[in-house]
Amino acid sequence: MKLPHKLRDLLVLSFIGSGMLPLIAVGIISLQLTDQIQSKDISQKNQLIARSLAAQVRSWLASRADFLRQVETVISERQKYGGMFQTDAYLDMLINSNFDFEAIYIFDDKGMVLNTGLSALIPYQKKDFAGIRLSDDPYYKIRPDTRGITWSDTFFSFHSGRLTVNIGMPILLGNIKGSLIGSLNLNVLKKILHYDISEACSENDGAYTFITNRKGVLIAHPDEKLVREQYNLSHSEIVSKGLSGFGGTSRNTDNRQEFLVSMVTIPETGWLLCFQQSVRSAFRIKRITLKIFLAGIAVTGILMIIAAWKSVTGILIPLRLLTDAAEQVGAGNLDFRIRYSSDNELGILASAFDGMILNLKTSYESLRHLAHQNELILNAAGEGICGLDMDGNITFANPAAAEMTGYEPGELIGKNLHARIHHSEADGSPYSVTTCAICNSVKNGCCVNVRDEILWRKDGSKFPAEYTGNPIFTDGSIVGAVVTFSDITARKNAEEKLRTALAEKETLLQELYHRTRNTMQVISSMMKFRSLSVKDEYVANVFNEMENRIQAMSLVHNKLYESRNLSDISLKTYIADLAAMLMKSYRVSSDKIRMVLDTEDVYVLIDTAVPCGLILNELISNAIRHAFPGERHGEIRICLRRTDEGEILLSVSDNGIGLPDNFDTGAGGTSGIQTVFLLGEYQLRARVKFESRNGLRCQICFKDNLYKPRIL
Amino acid sequence: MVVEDEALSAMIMCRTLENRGYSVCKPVATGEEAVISAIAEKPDLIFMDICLAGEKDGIQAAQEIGEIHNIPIIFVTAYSDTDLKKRAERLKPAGYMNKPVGIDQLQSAIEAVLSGVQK
Repeated sequence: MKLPHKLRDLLVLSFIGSGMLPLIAVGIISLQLTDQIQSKDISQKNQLIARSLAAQVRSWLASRADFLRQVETVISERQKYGGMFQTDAYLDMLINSNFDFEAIYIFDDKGMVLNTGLSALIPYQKKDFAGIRLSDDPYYKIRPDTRGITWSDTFFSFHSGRLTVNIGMPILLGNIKGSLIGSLNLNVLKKILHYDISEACSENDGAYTFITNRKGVLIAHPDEKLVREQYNLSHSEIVSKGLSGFGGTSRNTDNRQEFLVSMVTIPETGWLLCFQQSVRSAFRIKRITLKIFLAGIAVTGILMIIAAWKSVTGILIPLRLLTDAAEQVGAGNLDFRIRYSSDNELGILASAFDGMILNLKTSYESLRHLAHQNELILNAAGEGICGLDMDGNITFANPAAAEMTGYEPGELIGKNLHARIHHSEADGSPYSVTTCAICNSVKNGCCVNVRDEILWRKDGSKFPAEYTGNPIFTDGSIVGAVVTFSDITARKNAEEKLRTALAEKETLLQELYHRTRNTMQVISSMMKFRSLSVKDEYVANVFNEMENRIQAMSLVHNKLYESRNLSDISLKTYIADLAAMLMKSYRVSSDKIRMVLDTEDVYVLIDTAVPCGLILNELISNAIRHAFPGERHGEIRICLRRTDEGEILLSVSDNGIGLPDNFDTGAGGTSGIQTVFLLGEYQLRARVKFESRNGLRCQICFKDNLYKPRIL
Repeated sequence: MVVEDEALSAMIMCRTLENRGYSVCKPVATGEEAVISAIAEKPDLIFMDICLAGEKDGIQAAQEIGEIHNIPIIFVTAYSDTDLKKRAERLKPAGYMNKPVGIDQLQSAIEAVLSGVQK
């Protein structure tokens, strides 16, 4: 994949921009500041140079003027005091000792040359000047309004051919007010302006000084030819500016070359001294600085580009690799690995990415295995399992669900479950969505379990089903439900069979109990019948006793039949019925014997009830028959309760005549007592105790734990 | 030996057998007591009721006794359950009698068993 250039360009530009732009900005600002400062410095420097040179020129001119003043003083004094003063010789001496002057003239008041001092430069002799009226020459005139020095315009001396300026002043020659004129050779200016130093006035240096007279004519210039030609610079804007009194430094362009011109006016002569330096030369440092700056920018730029490229490459290549890896992983290739190793952060990222892919692969394999397992489980499940969305539409149906409902596995997906298989009641009437438990499970998020409803197959047939609906939550919100259902046809058939069998058994049991009671009744009746024909009272009593025993057992079976579970009976009610039955059997009225029942509601199994019944029959019968002979009245008390130790305590007592003193109340006693002991000790594992005091009392205490219920 | 939880039935059986000249051990009412008594007394014949008091029924007691002593056992029961009968017959008892049994039936059974033992 080709990465878009945006990042690369962005990085490169950022690199370069962040490095270069500040540098350039700083450089430009620095250059501008430098330029400004340098311009100012150069202007000041050039101005200083110009001033310095002008000062030197002025100083020289002033010294020449002072020299002439001294000459004037000397000559005036000599003339005052008369005597033999050789003025010409004096002047010659002065000329010879001062090479600046090429001639000194003394005019009379009419301007006629009186004395001269001539240098060797002048090819004339004194006599040539005698009687000449040089004052007519404007260069030799002293302005009458000045008392001091008169400076002439510069001119090329016709005497020496050199550029000259005349210094004039009045001189008192006795009574005559004459003029003293000194012709100053301006060759000195070359020296002052350093024209003799070739480098100083080299045009390569770009800096030189020139002087113009008050008319703008060059009187000093490195190019002497211009001076000779009396080149006039008054047309120059800068020179005319200077001649009009402007000082300072300005820029001037001449022949497409720019110059810095620092101007100073020499007030004595009105000359304009200009120190001119080409801008190129003046700002050489700036140019060098700019070159260095540009070179630095260039080098920095190159280095930046290299660094940027290196960095970008160092970032983009691993990024490309990561991108490729991400695409591969996204396409499902979890075996892909990034082949990039480095100690830097990108190397660590690549390594972490590889680790992530490995973990993804492991997780994916686990998930796939889990999903496969789940699929196998769901497909293998015997129950129908359907996933529903919030609208009750089927999102998943396992093969069992499809098979039970007669659909193909994929047929159910997307269909509404209620509409497909739960739409009607068993009688075909519509089953409302609002009352449908499954729909409510999805709607309200509640779990439902219905044990017996009807589901419908594709072919329109129905089957009984048990189903559960459980909502599915994601992040606390209902997103659907899972419905599992089973075809309970077999179960219902089995239940029906069980109900039928149970009914049959119940009928049989009823029949059995009936027959048992009937049989016992027949036995009792046969005994009764036989006793009717017995004349012997003892035998008749025996038959009666047997009948009572049978009735006692029959009563147990009656109670069992009436009991809630056909397993245990209430001894309380049994005792009441037995006592009543025996009182009736022995035809004893309650006026004679009062039967007191102090009984708790104790339930026992039939295995315990029968021996208890037989024991009670013996004890109650005994008390009725023997405790209250004759007209004696009394009370028979029957107590029944459970002790704190969980034992059953049963006692029959009377307040009758009791037993004779020598009566054996042990197991070797009468058959009745033997029966009590046999049933009590052998069958019930009870403690049997007889007491004969103020009547007879028999107490039986036993744990009712020998038998288990046969009907649970 | 008579193994019978119904006290009167046990007493009558013992008395009638004694009256017929047999030596009868003290009757027991539970399967546990039957095993203990059989090991101790080693009777020649045991009349075993199937439905007994306690945890063990007569068939279990008979199986345990049979693992120790080869004592002929005749089951005497009021149950006519076929499964119960099959369980009992697996132990190859000396006999299987349904209640109520008369003294003559008891004596016939005793003589049949004892003659078989003598053979």
